[in-house]
Amino acid sequence: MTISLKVNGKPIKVACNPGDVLTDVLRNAGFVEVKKGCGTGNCGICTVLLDGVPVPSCSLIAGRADGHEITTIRGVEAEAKEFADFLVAEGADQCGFCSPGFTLNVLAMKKELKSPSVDEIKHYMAGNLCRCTGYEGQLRAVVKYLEAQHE
Amino acid sequence: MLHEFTYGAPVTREDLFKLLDDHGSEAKILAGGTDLLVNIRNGIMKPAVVVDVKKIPRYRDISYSVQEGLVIRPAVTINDILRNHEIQENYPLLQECGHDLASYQIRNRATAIGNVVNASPCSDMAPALLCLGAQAVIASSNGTRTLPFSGFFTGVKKTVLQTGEVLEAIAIPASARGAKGAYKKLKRINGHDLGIVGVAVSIKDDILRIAVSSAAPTPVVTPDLPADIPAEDAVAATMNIISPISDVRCSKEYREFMVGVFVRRLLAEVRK
Amino acid sequence: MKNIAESALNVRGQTQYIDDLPEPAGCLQAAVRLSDSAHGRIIAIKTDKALALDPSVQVITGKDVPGVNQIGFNKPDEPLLPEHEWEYWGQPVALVLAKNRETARAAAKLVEIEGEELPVVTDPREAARNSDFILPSRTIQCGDTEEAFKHCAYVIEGRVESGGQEHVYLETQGAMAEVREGGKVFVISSTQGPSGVQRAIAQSLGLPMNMVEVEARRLGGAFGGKEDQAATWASLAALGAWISKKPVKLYLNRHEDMRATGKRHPYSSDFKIGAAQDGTILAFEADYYQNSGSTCDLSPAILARTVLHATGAYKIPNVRVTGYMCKTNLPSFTAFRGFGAPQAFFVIESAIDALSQASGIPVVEIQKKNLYREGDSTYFGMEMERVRAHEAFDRLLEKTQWHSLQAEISDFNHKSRTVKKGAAIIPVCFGISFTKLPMNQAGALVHVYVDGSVLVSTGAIEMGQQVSRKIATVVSETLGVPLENIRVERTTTLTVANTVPTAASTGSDLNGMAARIACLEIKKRLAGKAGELLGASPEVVRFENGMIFKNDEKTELSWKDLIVKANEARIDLSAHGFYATPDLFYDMKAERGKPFAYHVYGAAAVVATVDTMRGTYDLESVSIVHDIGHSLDISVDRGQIEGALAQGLGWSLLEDLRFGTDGKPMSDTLSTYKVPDISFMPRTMDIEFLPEIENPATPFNSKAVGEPPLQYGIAGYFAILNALRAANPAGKTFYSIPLTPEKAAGFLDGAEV
Repeated sequence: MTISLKVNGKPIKVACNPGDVLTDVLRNAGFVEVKKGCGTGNCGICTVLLDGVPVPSCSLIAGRADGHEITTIRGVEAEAKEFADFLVAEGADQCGFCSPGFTLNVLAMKKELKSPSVDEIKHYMAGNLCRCTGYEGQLRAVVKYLEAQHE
Repeated sequence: MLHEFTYGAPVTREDLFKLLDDHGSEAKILAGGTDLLVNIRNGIMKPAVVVDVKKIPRYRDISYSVQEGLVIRPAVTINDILRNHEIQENYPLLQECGHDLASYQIRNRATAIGNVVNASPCSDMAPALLCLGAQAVIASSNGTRTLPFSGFFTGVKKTVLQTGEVLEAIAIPASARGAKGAYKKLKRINGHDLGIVGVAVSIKDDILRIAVSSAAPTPVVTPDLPADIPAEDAVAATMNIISPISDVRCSKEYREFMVGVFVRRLLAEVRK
Repeated sequence: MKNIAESALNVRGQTQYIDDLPEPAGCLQAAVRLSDSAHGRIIAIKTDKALALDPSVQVITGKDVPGVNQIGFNKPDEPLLPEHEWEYWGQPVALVLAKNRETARAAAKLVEIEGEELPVVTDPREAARNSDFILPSRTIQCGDTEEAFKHCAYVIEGRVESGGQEHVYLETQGAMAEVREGGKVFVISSTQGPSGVQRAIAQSLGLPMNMVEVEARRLGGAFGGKEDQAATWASLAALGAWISKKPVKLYLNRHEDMRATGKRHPYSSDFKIGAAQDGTILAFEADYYQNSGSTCDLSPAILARTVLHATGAYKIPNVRVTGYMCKTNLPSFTAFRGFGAPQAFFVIESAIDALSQASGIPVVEIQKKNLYREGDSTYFGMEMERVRAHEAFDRLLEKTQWHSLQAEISDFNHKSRTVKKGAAIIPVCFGISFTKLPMNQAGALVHVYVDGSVLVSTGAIEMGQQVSRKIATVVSETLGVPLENIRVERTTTLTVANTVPTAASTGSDLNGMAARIACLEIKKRLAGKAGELLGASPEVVRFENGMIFKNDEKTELSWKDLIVKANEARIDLSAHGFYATPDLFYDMKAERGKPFAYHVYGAAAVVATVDTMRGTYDLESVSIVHDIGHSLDISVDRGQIEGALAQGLGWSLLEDLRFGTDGKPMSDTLSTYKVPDISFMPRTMDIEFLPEIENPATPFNSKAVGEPPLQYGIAGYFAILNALRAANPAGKTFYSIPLTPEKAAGFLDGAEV
């Protein structure tokens, strides 16, 4: 089948099998910034925004995405770059494999929650695994980034 | 690629029923997809046709009225439930259960109906539905039938749904409105994990119900109990309905033990 | 700063890991057929059904290996693809190539292994009873324990179990291989050790090493899991490319990776500890039964680290410790951050806990009394220098106000019925250097280009520890050139040969020193030229921030100008640096020597609460005092400590690696195997660094940071154990990692709450 997607604002048509999951569809179409961690919805690595809402792209079959807008980390370059500086400053950008999915979820949280508490942040981010940082640096970076948005 | 199948996305009920009738047991319904994809990937299901119900406009609705109660349709996600103010006000137990389901991103996709249709013993939404006396509204080209969720699950990953049928709505009666309730789910980590056990307790109109997930082949509920039943009798009534097993998450004994602990705690909580 | 911008590439999704790289034209995808039982004899491997699936399918088995079908170097017990016997559940038995990954995977499932099942052993003690060892046991002895026990006021024996741990590097294992012109094999591998991969490929293809080039780019995590074990996947990809004459990529999915690859070694250990009335430890014995899995892999080096860390941070005069490498039908257990030391630390801390229980002397008092002091000699004869055990421990006691904290906790426990609190401290003294002595070497190649920019290549693999940033800092400081002029390149076997894996926390120590030596060589040549240009002797010339100084005065001569002039004068602007850690020696027969360049010290305190009905717990706080020397990058080092702590806590409390008695992997997905998530971590974390100290073995007195803090997680175990004891003083103590809520509930069973 052929599906139409709008990825990072640009309309594209992709040929795929109905059984392909969105992660693979996107990666095959060159959006390799969407990483694959477990393929079972347990790690959050493959998070993309579907019509602005964060979803694990491994849990979405291709047909489902037809006609929808997808945002990968490259679609939010400026914000990602800004957040990246906070992550790096806190020693929380390590192997980098989880960073795109994590960052997209942080950006979605920023839109959805006004001044979230640390517990709310943890609840929102619980689906994003990271094996390098122990989360402490990530959490500091998120808190400082959100604070900076209010200034 | 998971497995070869064709994908159908009907936009009306009529088209949906036609698809289901045409393909019989070869068709599987895709609601949120978070469980179905795992089942297909693991080779548990090999449907020839996957029928997406999210594109039927009415199926995205949550409707509520004081007289009729609450109706949740197939495309309603867990996060839709968590954001709904009427549910928060009238059926808070539903939100408590939904809150603990998987991760934020998954909750954006997973649906309440998918969670119960999948009939996993560890369904998070089932305990709330069982406690609240929810009805399953099942539709097919032959019409509609309704039955309580206490009769919906028939075994591990099995329900009363027949070929050609779709669980079209979860109806929670007006009588359950304002039920006091609480849910506890034991997980290995606080975040995204399947339950080791989940226990929900509700009290409404002097009737106490206790529902348990992950401790029997299906989610289970006690018969209606008097609201002032002594805690140990409530525990005993719960023990009667469970039959846990040992698996990689924990042993049978720990599950039994924890169900007892949770029943006592939850009772104390809802009786406050 | 340029390096910040470079790191930010990860966040922006611009870093290319193996599976993100553009594939060469005609690239085939590979999949592996994994065994589906734990032990058996191969009768036949049937490929008809697989081949019938699609014309692009090719199936490769052990018989097709053109060179030596063997990639084990510590012991030749690891065929690339087995021809006679499979030895664990999930072992690759055949390699399948196809036009795409789905077809390759589907075809792999259709490869039939006809075989005869053989007996399965999963328990290391059972293997020991059968005398089924990978290599002979290893014993280190000092003094006379038997005699010493006779004079002890307390002698306690016990048993300690610690489980395995899955790496869960988020990028799974993989490699891409192609045969280039002239039959040269080029491989990009997600590996910590490109030279080891190169050697394995050369051997299995029957080529000299100069016909194999291996490149490693940034890894999406490794933690030891890609030290030796990346060689399998790279060699398989190379084998596929060699036979098919087409480029081949092999990239495991999570389920395959979790089944097929090794993890941290489970240990089962016995201890005997003896102490005087006042808590002075006089004698310690331990027997470590290491579950080595099916092949040798790195097990001897890991066991070496265990027996060299047997007494933890403590001076004990009489010691006898023995380690056994027990062969079982499980995936070959391998390197994982800490490398055998965490298992040893858990045993000695358990022994001290048991001693405290028997004697009534508080654990912290026993710990403090027995810490290493300056000039102490270890039980393997290493004289301890620049010892900071007391400094870290005392500072931690002060910082946590330990004694009033104890009073607060006991007050809390007196008042609270359903929640109890506990706290514990662990001191750490961790030896830095590869335990396999010849591995303590590194090379670096530094080029200065005519525009003044600097390119550095070393054996250091970037896998998240920001070793590139640290090496760039070393080069920048050594050459006196701003960071933005320096680029650290990925590692390839072309630029630096015979590298050791980036492991044992030594990446920036060894490679930083090698880079520094190369820079000093270039600087020496340049100083001569600068002296000539400035009319000064080279000794008074100094390089700083891109400018040249004479007698501490800034001159008009810039680094860039100097490079142009040096090039015109035909001065070599490149240098190779080589570093071998000095003064290391070890006599394997006598089991005496100096196996470590230095030690890293520190201490951590964990406070935890336990739900006395459920056995569930919360980590309330962690306080750490840590010795990082002169940090090359504070935020990076802090990130390393936090990350190591998370893995240490995960190993101690949560991560439950399970196999059936038939060897079947039970926890081979991320839904059955749980790792810490953001809500698992302690609510507060406080990390303090000890003041800087001289450390001649490293660049600018820095200290290795990767592994030592992992041990801190063990304090989580004892904090929870103490909280459990507050709930049920009659509870039966066990020393078994991970301390899951279920085990905790078992301890509480019968508690009066």
